[in-house]
Amino acid sequence: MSTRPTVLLCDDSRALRMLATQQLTDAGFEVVGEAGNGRQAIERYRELSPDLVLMDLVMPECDGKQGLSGILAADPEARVVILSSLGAQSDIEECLRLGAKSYLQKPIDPADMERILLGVLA
Amino acid sequence: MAAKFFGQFLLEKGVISAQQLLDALDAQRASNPTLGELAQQRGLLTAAQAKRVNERQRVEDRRFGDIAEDMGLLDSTQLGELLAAQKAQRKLFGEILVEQHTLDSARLETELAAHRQEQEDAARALGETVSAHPLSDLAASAINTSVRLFPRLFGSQCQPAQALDSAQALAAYPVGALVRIEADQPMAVGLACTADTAMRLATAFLSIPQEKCDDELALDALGEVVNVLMGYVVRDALSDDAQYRAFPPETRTPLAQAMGASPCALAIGMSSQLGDFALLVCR
Repeated sequence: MSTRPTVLLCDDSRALRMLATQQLTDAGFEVVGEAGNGRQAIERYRELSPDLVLMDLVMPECDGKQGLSGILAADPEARVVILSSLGAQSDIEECLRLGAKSYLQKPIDPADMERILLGVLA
Repeated sequence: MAAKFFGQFLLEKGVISAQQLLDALDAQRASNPTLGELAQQRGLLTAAQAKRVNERQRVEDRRFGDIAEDMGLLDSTQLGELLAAQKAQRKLFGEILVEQHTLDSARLETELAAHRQEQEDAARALGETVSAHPLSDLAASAINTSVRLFPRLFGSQCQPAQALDSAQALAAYPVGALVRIEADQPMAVGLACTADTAMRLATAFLSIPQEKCDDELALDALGEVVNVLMGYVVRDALSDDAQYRAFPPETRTPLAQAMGASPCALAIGMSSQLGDFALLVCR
């Protein structure tokens, strides 16, 4: 049984998911699932119950805010961290008010990511 | 006239062949180890530590040595020694051409002077075009951000080359990504290149070999790069509390078409060691 914290990674970019999976693995996390939009993230969250969700904001069909709301409706204790390069300050504020635990700016700094995610898990 | 790297200038003039250019670039690369490589050779850093410093460099506007020092991995004495060793080993591209007997010293001096003149002419022409354009601030932000981000995202350099004055000029770059922002003053920033350049950019961005990358992944990576670029441009152009809405990268519409459809657009040709590309800014 793995003791690594498990992560669901939600981003519409396959390239970003590849990059972030490598960085998360190097930092001691286990990426147990991926999603390409907010709707898929809600479904995958129900199946996998990960310790953490990394959620992009700007995605087609169902964006990060909708994904965040859906996951928190399914599990109010869910630990969702927003990941974005283009989020307006008002979007980030709204996500934090909705219940996101923190925010990470792209391009990802692995040291910041590790610190933030471990802080959210503590 | 477009600004070019010296090697590209010589190649296009027919002064050196493609193979001579590649040989000289390989030799230059071997003579210019990065600080991280030197530190590993001397047993001061492990590969994992150097990788962590490189990853921080992707998001910070700081030098490798400064970050390594802050992280407690190198002290100032070690850093000073590494920098001195790096400087002692470094060879200029022209020096290597002479060493490899591709050019003699006199020809090198002549070509360097011609290249310098062309660079100055290109910079003047580009500056005049950009500064006279209504999107000059946005274009300057996109150019400066690209020049700053390129080494961190791709481990390579880029520089502005020339203004591309029409959508037809962009047609040479059929692969591209465009990110739009809906705001009081909507804006869009795009990057276009050839399929080969997209592949080289993607493999450098993702640090993967070419056989692990396909055209779709390369295009997706290009979209992610433009997302990051736009993130910086937005922070330059809009106030912190500005209301705006960002859209996912558009990768299916050629940028030439997007430029043609925009009421106000400016495209800038860029030179890079990974291939030429174009930046497009639109309102």
